[in-house]
Amino acid sequence: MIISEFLKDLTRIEGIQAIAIYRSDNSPLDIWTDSKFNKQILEQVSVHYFQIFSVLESSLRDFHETVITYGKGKIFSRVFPDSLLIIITHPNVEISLIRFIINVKMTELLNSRQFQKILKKVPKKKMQFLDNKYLDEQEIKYLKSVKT
Amino acid sequence: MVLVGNLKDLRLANIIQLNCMERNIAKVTVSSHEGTGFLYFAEGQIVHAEFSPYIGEKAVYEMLSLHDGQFKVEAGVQAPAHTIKRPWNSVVLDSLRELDEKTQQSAYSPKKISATLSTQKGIKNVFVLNYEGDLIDGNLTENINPHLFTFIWYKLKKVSTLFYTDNFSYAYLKDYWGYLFIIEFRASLVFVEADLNIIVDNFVKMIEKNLKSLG
Repeated sequence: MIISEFLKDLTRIEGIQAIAIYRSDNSPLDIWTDSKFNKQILEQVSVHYFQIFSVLESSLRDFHETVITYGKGKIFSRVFPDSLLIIITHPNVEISLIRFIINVKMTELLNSRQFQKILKKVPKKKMQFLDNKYLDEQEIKYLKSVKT
Repeated sequence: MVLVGNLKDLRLANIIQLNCMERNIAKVTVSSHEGTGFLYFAEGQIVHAEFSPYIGEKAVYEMLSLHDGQFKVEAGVQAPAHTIKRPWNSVVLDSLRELDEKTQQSAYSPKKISATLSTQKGIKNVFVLNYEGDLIDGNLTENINPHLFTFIWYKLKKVSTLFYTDNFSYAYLKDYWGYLFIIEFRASLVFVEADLNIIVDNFVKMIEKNLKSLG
């Protein structure tokens, strides 16, 4: 609902396949996809992003956005204080256009009473995304090296 | 019947192909200064290989990397074990591809990357890491922890594999000061820090062109 209300400009861009907003405990706040997109993929994607941004938090830089370009498309993500936004697109979609819309519309969304109400509705669970049980061996090894 | 020859005259890949196409039951012994190995054929496949200390596909790979040595083909010799299950052409092609990549790898020096890219417009810093997160070229700025960013690359790549592709082209992170690009290049990770004035698509094309010029 919140995507079709606040981010409808994004859903109208040709080549946008999916938009998902998650609360910081990885519960989905809203998901929009085009008819051909497999929604199940998103469930796995979001955990990875929460882990990425959890690790980036400990870096001395303030990275809040990532873009992956692969053969079939692009995956955009941006973290906000209480939420995470993920957008999946075809290769031809301009990330600068997405960024422009988000800069305006996400601020409106985050400040809206509707959004604040949704956040308050369900008590937030504290998630430890970097717990070893959510990581593979190689990831554990990398994180060990980060700490030493 | 026994056929004897030198690998310089007849490549091992051709000997394998011949035995498989002809569906021979045969044993091929390969002797070089690096050791002696055996290949066994039956029903149009390689069924077993030994090249100490390896057996199976790894032994085939090691033998295919030999450029010099003698070979002997003995017809009618049965394999003592069955250690190779994949079709012969997949085993040979994968080995040759891996050997080719290894050759290219040894010809290229990651030391040139930072010097080549650093002079380009919009670039603030370039550094190259291996997959373990060790610095192999360039300099790290104070706020960059190499293992942390290797972890980030690993995760971003993992995300892209969820979309049924192993074709990870590049990724970037953005903060209020600039971009950090992560580009895979010849079994190394090229990190390029750039300012916000760049146009991403053109910038990446320029980087890829420069990396290509390194051979």
